[in-house]
Amino acid sequence: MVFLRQVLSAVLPRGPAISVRPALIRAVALTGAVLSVLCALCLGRYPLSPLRVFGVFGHLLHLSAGGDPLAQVVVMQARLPRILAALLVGGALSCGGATYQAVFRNPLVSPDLLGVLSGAAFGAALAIVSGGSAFVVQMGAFGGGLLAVGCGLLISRTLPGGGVLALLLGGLIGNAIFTALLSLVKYLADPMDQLPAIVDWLLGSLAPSGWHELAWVSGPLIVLTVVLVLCAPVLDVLSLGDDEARSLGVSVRVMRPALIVLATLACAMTISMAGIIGWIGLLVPHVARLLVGAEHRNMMPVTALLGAGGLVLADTCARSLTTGEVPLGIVTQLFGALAFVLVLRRLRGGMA
Amino acid sequence: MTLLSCRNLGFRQPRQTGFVLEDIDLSFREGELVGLLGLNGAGKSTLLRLLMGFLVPSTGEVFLEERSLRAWPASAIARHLAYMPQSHVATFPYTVRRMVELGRVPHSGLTGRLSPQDQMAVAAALERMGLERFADRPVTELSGGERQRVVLARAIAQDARGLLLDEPMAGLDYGYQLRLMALLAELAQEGRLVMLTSHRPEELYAHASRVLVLDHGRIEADGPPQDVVTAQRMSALYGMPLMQMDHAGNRFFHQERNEK
Repeated sequence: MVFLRQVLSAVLPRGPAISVRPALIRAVALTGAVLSVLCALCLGRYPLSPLRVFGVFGHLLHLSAGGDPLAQVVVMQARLPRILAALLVGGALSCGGATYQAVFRNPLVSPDLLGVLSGAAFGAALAIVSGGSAFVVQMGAFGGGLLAVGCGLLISRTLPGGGVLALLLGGLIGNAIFTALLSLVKYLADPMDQLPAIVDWLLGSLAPSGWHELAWVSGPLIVLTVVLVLCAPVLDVLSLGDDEARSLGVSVRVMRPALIVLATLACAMTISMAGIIGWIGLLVPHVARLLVGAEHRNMMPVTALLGAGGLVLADTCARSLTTGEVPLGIVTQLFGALAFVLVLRRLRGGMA
Repeated sequence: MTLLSCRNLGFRQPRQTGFVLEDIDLSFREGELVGLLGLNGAGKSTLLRLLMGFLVPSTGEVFLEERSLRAWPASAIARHLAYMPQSHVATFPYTVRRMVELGRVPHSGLTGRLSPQDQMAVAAALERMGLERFADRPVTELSGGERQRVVLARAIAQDARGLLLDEPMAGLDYGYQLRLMALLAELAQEGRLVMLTSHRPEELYAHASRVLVLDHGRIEADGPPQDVVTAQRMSALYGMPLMQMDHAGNRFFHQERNEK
């Protein structure tokens, strides 16, 4: 065991004093994510055995002859794009949440703190009411989310004092404005078809995710998630407080807005793709911290993997628990809230 | 050699007329242990934060090695000056070791990789503050005083030529208050500038090489402790009649009593 530990810590790119545990947990989380993808490929209204799923991939890679056309359609057209979307959205939302929590020095913060959700909801609702296509609704959500956060940031600039408190207050005000605007759009919407469409969108779902929808978001989402994970050491420093971060030579004035923008972009993209999926961004970082500790260099990769795998599982539940489809937002909210109780009970010491 | 200095330094809060600090001309050399006395709200923390470059002065300028602080990149300042805030709020349960490792960020950069030299500095700082046994514990589980020691260990690991400490003794138990002063004297003897704000004139008398008194935003006194930490000046500063008692190189103060 000691020998294994020594070998591992020699192979891994880190100092000798650091334990092997984070690498182990990372491997377990990666395995979990892969297994959840496999589960999601097999489960559904038309269950497939793992062998048939492997057969489809084998056939695609020209490893086996004799296709299985039905399984191929189910896997390639219905399930795989949706699973990939869930992986991307889950990973990005979780990393966005962890970033927000560190930057705002508050473990109870979720990515919608600065109003990205209310803004996106307003944008999407506006697009629905004006009869836009699915793509227009996506763009509306994305633009609305960024607009709301931009408003919040601008308002915080005018407040005295600056710092985290001004940001929080600016976000609060921006949130309120766009929640009011959303209510206005809902009030004006046609109650026969537009209002249900808005409500449906607000509940969040990955159902419409096909290869086409994946195409334009997947690249940026992957890049943003990877960048957020790589920024992990900066998060350690920023979470100490403004003066302390500055005394360590980190420019808070540059780094904090930059990270907020990155995390917000990631969240706005997930929302434009899947609607409002609550609790993932708040809950997953806590679970990761519980497993590997608070150091962001260790916890960010685990956060990304857990978020990705977790959302795949949640989405699999959403589409296969009942004969119809339960909106994903409801599933994550319900399971997330319950899981949060367990996480909070396990915490020792501070609220993290 | 002069490490840190300021000329005509003044500060006032935005949208307010009164100056928090006014006409501050000071210069500090390496090897000095400077104590900063003053009432609550006298501007001690503000002065430290101005000297660190956290606040932009309303008048005058701060110089690090004769060069305007504004011309220095943040990471270079961090290699010259370390800072310890009055209170550290531990939000996330980082381990004590990680907290101290963050002191190496100005040297190793933000990649998080630590060189053997960084590792040695971290180990030495942990040992110096008696924290080896806590090294793998989350800071959120420590008491306020223990956390204070962690932040100080981080400042030591930073290996800076100047340490600016805002009330480092607050929250420490009596033993550690005394040990801390001895340690700070040691750090100064090794050739660092150590500057601390304090509400303990007696400790400053015993250890500091220079004491400043800040009153209503101005420097009221600046000199060796024997000249500055006197009953007369302390009585004036704290607004109560104080008697002094010298014993074996120490000076103690007590309140004048009307005994009948």
